[in-house]
Amino acid sequence: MPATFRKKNSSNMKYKLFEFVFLCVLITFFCYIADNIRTNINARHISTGFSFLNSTAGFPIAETPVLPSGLWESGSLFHEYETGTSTYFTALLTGLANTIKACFAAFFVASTLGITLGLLQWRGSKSIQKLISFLFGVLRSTPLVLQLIFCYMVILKILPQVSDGFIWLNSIYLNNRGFFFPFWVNGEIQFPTLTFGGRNVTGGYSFSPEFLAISLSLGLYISTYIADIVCSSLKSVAQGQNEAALALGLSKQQSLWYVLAPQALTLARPNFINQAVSLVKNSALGVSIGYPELMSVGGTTMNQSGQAVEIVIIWMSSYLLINLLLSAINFLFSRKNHGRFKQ
Amino acid sequence: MAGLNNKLNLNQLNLKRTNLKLWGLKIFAAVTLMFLMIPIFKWTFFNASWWSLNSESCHNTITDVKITGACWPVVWAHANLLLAGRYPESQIWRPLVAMILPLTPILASLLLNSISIKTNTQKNGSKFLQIGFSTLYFTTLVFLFFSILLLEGTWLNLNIVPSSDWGGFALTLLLSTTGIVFALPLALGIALIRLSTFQILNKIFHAFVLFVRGVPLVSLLFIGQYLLPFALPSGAAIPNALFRAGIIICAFQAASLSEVLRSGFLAIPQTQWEGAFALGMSRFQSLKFIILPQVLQLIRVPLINSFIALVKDTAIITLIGINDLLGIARLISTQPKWLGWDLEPLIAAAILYGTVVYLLNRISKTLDSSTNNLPQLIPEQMP
Repeated sequence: MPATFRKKNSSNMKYKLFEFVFLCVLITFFCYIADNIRTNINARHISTGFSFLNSTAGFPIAETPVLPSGLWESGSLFHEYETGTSTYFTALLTGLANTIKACFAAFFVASTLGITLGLLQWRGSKSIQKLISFLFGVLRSTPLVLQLIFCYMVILKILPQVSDGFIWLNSIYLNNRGFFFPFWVNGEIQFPTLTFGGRNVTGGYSFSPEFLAISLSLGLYISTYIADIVCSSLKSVAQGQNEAALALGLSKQQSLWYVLAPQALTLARPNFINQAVSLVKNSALGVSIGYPELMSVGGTTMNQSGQAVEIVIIWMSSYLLINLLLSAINFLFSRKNHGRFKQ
Repeated sequence: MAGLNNKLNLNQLNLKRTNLKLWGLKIFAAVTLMFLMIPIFKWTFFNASWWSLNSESCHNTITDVKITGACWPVVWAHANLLLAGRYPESQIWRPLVAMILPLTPILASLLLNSISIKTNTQKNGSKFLQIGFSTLYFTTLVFLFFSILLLEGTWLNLNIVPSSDWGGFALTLLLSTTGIVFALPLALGIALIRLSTFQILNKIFHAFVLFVRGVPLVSLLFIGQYLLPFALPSGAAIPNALFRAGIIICAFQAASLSEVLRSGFLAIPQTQWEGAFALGMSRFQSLKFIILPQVLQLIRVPLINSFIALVKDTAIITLIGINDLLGIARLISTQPKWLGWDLEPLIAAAILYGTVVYLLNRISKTLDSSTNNLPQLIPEQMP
C-alpha cells in the first residue's frame, strides 16, 4: 500500500485501539440490523430460507429462451418455463438466461457499431468526425433509462400490425409482435407461421420488441464508449509503426489489420471488458420496459412470495458473479501481458 | 531500384483509389442521412402542431382525426409538471427557488473566478475557485437544508406539501445535489480508511466499494424499497420512499466518489506528508492545510464528471415509483385527454437533462483549462 499518512514515530497502540473501537461499532450496528430484520420477519410470519424456490410460480413470463433440447429437457430442473407448473427456481433461471441473452445481443451491437464509429473517428473526414461527436454528445448527456424507454416507444410506433407486417419468403416476419425467423427445434427446422387468421405469428424463434429495444439502445449507448476506446488506443500506437508498415509496402488496410490493431487491442482490452461489466449492470434497466430479465422476474417473485431477503441475495450474487468473472478475465490477461509493453 | 519505383507507383494508385472510395462513402453517408432525416423533420416540424395549448389542435375529437406529426402542445400545457412535478401550482415558486439555491455558491464562485482571471494574473495556489473549498461546501450544505425546509414547508410557516408531491426537474436537481453534498464527507472517510494501515477496516470498506460498484443501481434502490423497512426496529415509523432513495443514492455516490478521492490522494507524493510532519503539523493539520487542497485541485474535473453521472443516474428512481423528471414525462401521456402523445414529453425531459449536462460539461472544461493554478508537485533537484 503506497502513500500511507502515518507518522513514523506515532504509537502503534493508538491505531490498534481506534481500529478495534471502530470494528466494535460496525459489528454492533450490523448485529442490530440483523436482529431487526429477524424480528420483523418473524412478526410477519414469513418463512426464511430458499425452500420457496421449489414451490410453483403462477405468473407468466413473456420470453423463454429456447436452448438445445438436451440441456433444457422438460421434467428436469432446467426445463423450459411453463406458467402454472414451473417452480420459482426455473422462473429465476429463465430471468437470468434472458439477462445473458440481452447482454450478448447488446454487446454484439455495441462492439460492431463501436468499432465502426471508432475507426471513422480515427481516420474519417472532419465532417464525419463532427457528426459522430455530436451523436455521442446526445447519447451521453441523456440518461440511459430515458433512451431505453424512448427506443421502446419508437419501436412500438414504427412496427406495423401483424396483418400488414413485413414478410420475407414466408419465413421471416417483422411486426409489432417482434422479429420471427426459422429456428432449430427438436432436431428439425421450424418455420414461423401466421395463425388466428393472420393476426398472430407462432413457431420458429422470435425477438420481442422489448428485446430489440434493450439490445439496440443499450448497444448504442455502450458503443459510444467503445468507439472512444478504439479511437484512443489506435492513436496511442506510435505513428512510426504505421509509417514503417507503409514503407514495407503494406496497404493501409493491411497496416491496420496486421500492425496497428494487434498492438491497439492489447491496450484496449481492459477498457473493453470494463464496458462489458457496465453493460451487464445497465441491462438491469430492462425492468423499465417490461423485459423479463432477472430484475423484473425477481421483483414479481418477491411480490408473490414475500421473500425479500432471499431475492435480494439472489440478485446481488448473480450480478456480482457475472462481473467478477469478467474482471477475472481482465486479471488473467493483465498477468499474462505484464511488462510486455514496457518502454 | 526498379522495384521501389514500382511500389511507389502502386502506392499512388492506391491513394487515388482510397480517395475515390472516401468520396463514395461521403456521398453514401449524405444520402442515407437525408433519407433518415426527412421523416424525422416531417414528424418534428412540418406535420407537427406547435403553437397551441389545447389537445384539440392535435386530436380533433369530433372528426377523430389525429395529426401525423408531433404534438408539442402536450409539453407547453404541462411545463409546470415537468419543472416541479405535482407540487401545488400556486406554490410553484418554492421548488423553483429550492432547485437553484444549493447551486448558487458554486455558480457565484465560478463567476468570481472568471472575473478574477480577467483582472489579475496572480496565482492562487491552494484556493479552490477563489473561495475556499470548505466555505463553498458549507454554504452549499446550509442552502441545501434551507431548500428542503422550503419544499417541506413546516418550519417556514408555509403550506405543508408531502414529499410524494415533489417531483419533476426540481427533484432531479435537488436529489443530485443532495447526493454529492452528503456523499463527499462519506467518500473522504472511506478513501482515508482505504489508504490507512488499518488492516481489517481496509478490507471491509474495500468489500463495500466493490459490492456497491459491482451491482446495478436499480437493485440497490430495490433494496432500499423492500429491505430497508425490515432493518428498522419494529414499531418505528418507516421513512418515505424519497428519503430511502436518497440514502441509497448517497451510499452509491460515496462508493464511487471514494475511488476518485483515493486516486487523488495517491497522486500526491509521500514527500508532501513528510514535509508537513517535519514542520511540526499534526496528521489532521497536514491533511487539512497541505494535502486536501492539492487533492481537491487534482480531482475537480473528475468530481464534476461524477456529478454528471449522478444527474443521469437519478433518472433510475423512476423505476421505484418516484415522479422525478422522467417519471413525470411518462405520466403525462397517460391522461385520457393526451393519450398516445408519449414521445414529446420524453424529448422535453431529454432536452432538460441534456442542458444540465452540457452546462456541467462546460464548467468542467473551463476548470480543466485553468491548470496554471496547480501547485508544483515535483521538487527541484539540489544542485
